[in-house]
Amino acid sequence: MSSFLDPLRELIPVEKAVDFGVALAMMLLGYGLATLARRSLVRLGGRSMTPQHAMLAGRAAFILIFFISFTTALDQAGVDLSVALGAAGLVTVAVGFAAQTSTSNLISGLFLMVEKPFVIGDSIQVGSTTGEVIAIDPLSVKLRTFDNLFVRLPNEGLLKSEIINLTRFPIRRLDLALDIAYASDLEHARRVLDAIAQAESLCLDEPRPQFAVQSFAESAIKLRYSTWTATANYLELKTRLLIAIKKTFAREGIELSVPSLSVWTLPPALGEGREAVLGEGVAPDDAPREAKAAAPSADAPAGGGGSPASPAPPGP
Amino acid sequence: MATTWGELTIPRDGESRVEIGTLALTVARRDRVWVLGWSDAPEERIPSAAAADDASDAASKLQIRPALPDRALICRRFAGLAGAEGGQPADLSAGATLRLLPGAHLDLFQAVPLWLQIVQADGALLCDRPIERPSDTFFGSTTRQGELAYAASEAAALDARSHHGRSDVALAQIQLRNLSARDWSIQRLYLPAPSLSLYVEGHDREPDEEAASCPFRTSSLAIERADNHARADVRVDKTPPPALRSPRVAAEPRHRATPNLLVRAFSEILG
Repeated sequence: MSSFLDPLRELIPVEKAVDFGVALAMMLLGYGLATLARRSLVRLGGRSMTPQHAMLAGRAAFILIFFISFTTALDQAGVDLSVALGAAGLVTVAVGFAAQTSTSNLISGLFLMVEKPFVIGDSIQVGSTTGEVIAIDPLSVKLRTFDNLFVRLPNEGLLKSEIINLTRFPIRRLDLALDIAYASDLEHARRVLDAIAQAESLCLDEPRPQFAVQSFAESAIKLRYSTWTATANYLELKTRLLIAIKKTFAREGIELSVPSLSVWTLPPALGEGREAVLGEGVAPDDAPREAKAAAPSADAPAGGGGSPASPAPPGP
Repeated sequence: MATTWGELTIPRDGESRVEIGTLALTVARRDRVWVLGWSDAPEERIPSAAAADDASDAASKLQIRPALPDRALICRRFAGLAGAEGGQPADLSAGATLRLLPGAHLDLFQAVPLWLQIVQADGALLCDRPIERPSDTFFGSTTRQGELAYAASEAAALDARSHHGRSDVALAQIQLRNLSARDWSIQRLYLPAPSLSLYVEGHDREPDEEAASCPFRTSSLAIERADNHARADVRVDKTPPPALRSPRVAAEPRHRATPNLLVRAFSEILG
């Protein structure tokens, strides 16, 4: 009795169909085993190795088990593997040329995994990109930036770049650059800064904060105040300190300086046609009384100070 | 207004206020949600708020209980040991450094800031925060390797009664023993606060005079330096402090140490 399956039977004998079925089952079983091995390694390996090493070991196990089951299945299905391997050699050459970048990324990824400049969960800065590492894969590293963007960085580029790991060490130094007016008392500023740091619980008690006078600049004395904090508290402390410094300096009469230029105006008779004379700092002794009166004093409030910022209107 | 630890009953849409040390805490119950507000500074009653689900309609009881800090405490002030020169085998002439003579031992009392925990009737933790947040500090040989800790804000004292009437701290009794043949100069002491138990006098007994000065005690510690190494062993006493007549455990250790494991501590050795 003939049926619609007859042409198929002629094309694929029953024995062959059974072999194909067994091969397919072996492949599926191999896939299942490989997945199970990968998951187990990731879960169990996570206890004794870093997450990316556990992930890598899991993937290696998956590929190995699946490759073995795949080739066994092909053998079961009657495929001549020697031919396949020969073809694979040719394909490898062709793919090798086409996949130079991927290969380079792959090898770079291996170097990164061995060198471990960062681990999953670290915050890193590469060029202008800063974010938390969420995956280290053979070809690329995935970051989540602090404004919640997903960034993929190829491993080859990472290996050549300068990587700043922001969270490698438990504590971090916070440097504040402060410009204060020449009229301000440096010792007083130091005492006030120490008091602010001492009152701020996020500032580490040890290592102690450091106060340094950097230079005498054109319109300000440049200071650096450095405190240590837990890495996780860096931004929070920076904000808190800047707010506290602004408030406390204003209360204590310590003037934060801004770049400024003084403009002195002279009456037309003395200026002999000149409309303005530009200068800095204190009015010259031979300047007329009106000109000195127009210049803000060194004790003027913020925005003025030793180097007044608000120019007087030009002379008539 | 509740002013102590213990159970707090709040009706639906009700509110209660707790004051412990410098912390003022407001607990309000709003439509299946607890709303917590706190102010650390007494003069600024502007609470920051936190909310947690209250799954039960009927539950309106909260436990306000003390706990020890979640990080170690570093003590580096011994200025309170003014009487150390008078008959005590210690020398404070070097300022902030405590020098213990060979073979000598000394009992110190260090105030450990308490944490406040608010626990729902079903055991869910709503809040775990310090009554007064201590300063952070770092305990390690370099800035690369070490441990984040809290800096003790109060100096160690020779007398437990120096903390009289405090309900916002627990007293830790530390026995220092210099078993070596050389002077032992100590700049910092490491108190493994998360590994300590917190005790309080039981309700059935009146505390003696020393225990009444500060109702909370931590496990006692013994710090021994047996040789000339820079390290000293810290041993945590598993029995309640002897100053409490009828001790009750107020809080279990946050981190349980392995049995027979000696917690290692460091002390800076000078000279």
